[in-house]
Amino acid sequence: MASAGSGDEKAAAAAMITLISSDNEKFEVTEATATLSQTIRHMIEDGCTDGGVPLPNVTSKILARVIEYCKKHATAAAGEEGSSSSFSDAAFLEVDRAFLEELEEFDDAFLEVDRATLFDLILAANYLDIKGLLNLTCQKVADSVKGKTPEQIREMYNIVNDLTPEEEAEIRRETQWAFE
Amino acid sequence: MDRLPEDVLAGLLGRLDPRSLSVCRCVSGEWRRIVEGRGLLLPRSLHGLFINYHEHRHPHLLSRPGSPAAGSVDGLLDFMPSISWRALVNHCNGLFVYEDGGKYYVCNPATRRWARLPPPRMQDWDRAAGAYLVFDPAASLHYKVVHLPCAPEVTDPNLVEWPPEVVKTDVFSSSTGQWEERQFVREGGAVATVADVLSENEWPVRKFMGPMHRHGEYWKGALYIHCRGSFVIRLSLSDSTYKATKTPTFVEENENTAISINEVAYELGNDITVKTYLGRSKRGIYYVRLHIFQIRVWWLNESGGQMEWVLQHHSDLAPIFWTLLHTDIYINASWIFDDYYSDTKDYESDCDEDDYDVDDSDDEDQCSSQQNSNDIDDVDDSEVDNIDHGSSQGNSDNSDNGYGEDDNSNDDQDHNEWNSDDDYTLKIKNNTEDLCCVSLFFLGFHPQKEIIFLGENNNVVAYHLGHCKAQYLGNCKPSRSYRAMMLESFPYTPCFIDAISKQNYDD
Repeated sequence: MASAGSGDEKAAAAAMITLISSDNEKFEVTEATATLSQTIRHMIEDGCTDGGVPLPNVTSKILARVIEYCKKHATAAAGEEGSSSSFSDAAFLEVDRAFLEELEEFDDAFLEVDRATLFDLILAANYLDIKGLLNLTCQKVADSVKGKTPEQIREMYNIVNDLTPEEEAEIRRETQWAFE
Repeated sequence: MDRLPEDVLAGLLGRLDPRSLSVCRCVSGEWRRIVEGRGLLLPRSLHGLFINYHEHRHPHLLSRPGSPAAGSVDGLLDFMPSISWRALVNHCNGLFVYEDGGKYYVCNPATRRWARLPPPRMQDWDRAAGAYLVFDPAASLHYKVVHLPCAPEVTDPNLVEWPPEVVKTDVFSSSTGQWEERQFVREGGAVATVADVLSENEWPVRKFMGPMHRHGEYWKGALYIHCRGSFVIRLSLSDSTYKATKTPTFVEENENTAISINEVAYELGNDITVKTYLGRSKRGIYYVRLHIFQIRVWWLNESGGQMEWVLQHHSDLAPIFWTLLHTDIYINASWIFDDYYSDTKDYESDCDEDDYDVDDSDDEDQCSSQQNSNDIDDVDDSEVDNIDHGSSQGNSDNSDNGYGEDDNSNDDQDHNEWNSDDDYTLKIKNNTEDLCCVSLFFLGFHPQKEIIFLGENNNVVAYHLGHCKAQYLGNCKPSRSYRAMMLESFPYTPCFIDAISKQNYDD
């Protein structure tokens, strides 16, 4: 890509992309930030981003959060590139480590949202094809069902149980070990 | 949750451990369809090796760190009833047959369920008769056990060719709970005579320090069984026919290293018998011949309805084992050995199931070690603490044998990584006598990759056929047994779902 530059000047000079949410709000982001989304990356490569990129599946509220995530992680990616290509003395590695810790803290804080928002973020990450964000959000949901009973999971996520009692008994019989 | 596309939900469920996944399967019809449709509880990856011992009446598990099934598998089979001598006989997609005092059991170490089978109808089996599992959980949770006689009955003077036109087996089916006779009719000619079989030296079963049972593998609807008389039979379960094919033969070449090592080994009383093994891996059925340090691996090409052995790999393992023995690499075990429970518990006493949840932490205190995180299942040249050597004559570099392209592409680069400092061949020539006490045996194939597992004493080593690289996995000597020696192993792929009922069929 053209602009995954490491310096501030480079980033500032990089091409800007306009993203348009479903409720018609416009967000201007750098190409480096936008291309964390594979979907947008392909659009840029195909040269169809002039006049903004309409994202009819993403509301402005969710898009703002997604951009927040991408900005943070695009900076991280640029930082990594810079460190590996230039010098790698101990001080530099120390900075790297601190940055990774900061990124982890950012991710943890980022996930502090209600369930509806979390699902909106999953849908947006899936639609925009942002692997890191999809991993992060799906893992959060996966962690939330660990150690729960089927009843608890259904209640947590408002899932209707459409299994017949016979089917449920069969499932429990086949994997009895997991219910003991 | 119902807003999520199926792919996303499937990706989400795929992150769960087997226990949570089993619970999620019970949440709704959609979740159940995803878990079942994508085979999330079925055998997907190698978890480790279950090992049978000589002079030790209990199998143990050596497992790979980072396996998704970690903590979910009972590596000591302590859910089984207290019995006298536990020996695994056969493995297929997560289920085992094992034998105790002439009785067969089927068990699943992941679901901790077992069933005792009634005695087979035919009783005139000798020690080496085999019981082989047929289990394909993607198609059905019911399993079959095929019991096959070992050798011709010498008392029948009319039998000349072998195997006979009709092979009689006993087949146990979990759906009926009974053994039934099933006949398989031969397609094609016989491959040996009774006299050949009775005079055969290369036994598929060894009396000491080798597999106790003939190897059998179920693959794509057929059961492949290694038989005395240097042949393999392929029983087709769908149409009750069978084919026989001789095991591969070759002319011993004059390899300098091989001869020198063979002579040294012979003079020093090393184990010079040829060891053979039938296994299943990436492309189907494979056959291994291990003669001291010379290993040959063939792949069974069945395209076009033929059964043809294709030499896949030939190398001299002496350099690798010399290097392993003369460096500290044996210290760096990367896999986890399930030893006994902590000293306060006696494994012989009846353990109730609540104890299982603690086995991992207890075991690690005892003996297991995990000093590095290398993982043969995700073997990557840049990361793995590998040993390479320059003397391999592996055919894997040839493109005409259909070896996986991804493996080929790395070979040149790998060899270029080695400079004169890594010239193990030179050191080996001066040091072959150091290997006089080393006796290698074959432990099995990685089910998805062309990686083999080799045993030396109680040490387990993984060897990558394509790259001729080795990695030490761990020592499998049970801490409470001074004389225990590894005999054989079964590469294990856990299956977290089954239809084993707790009944005993012979009650």
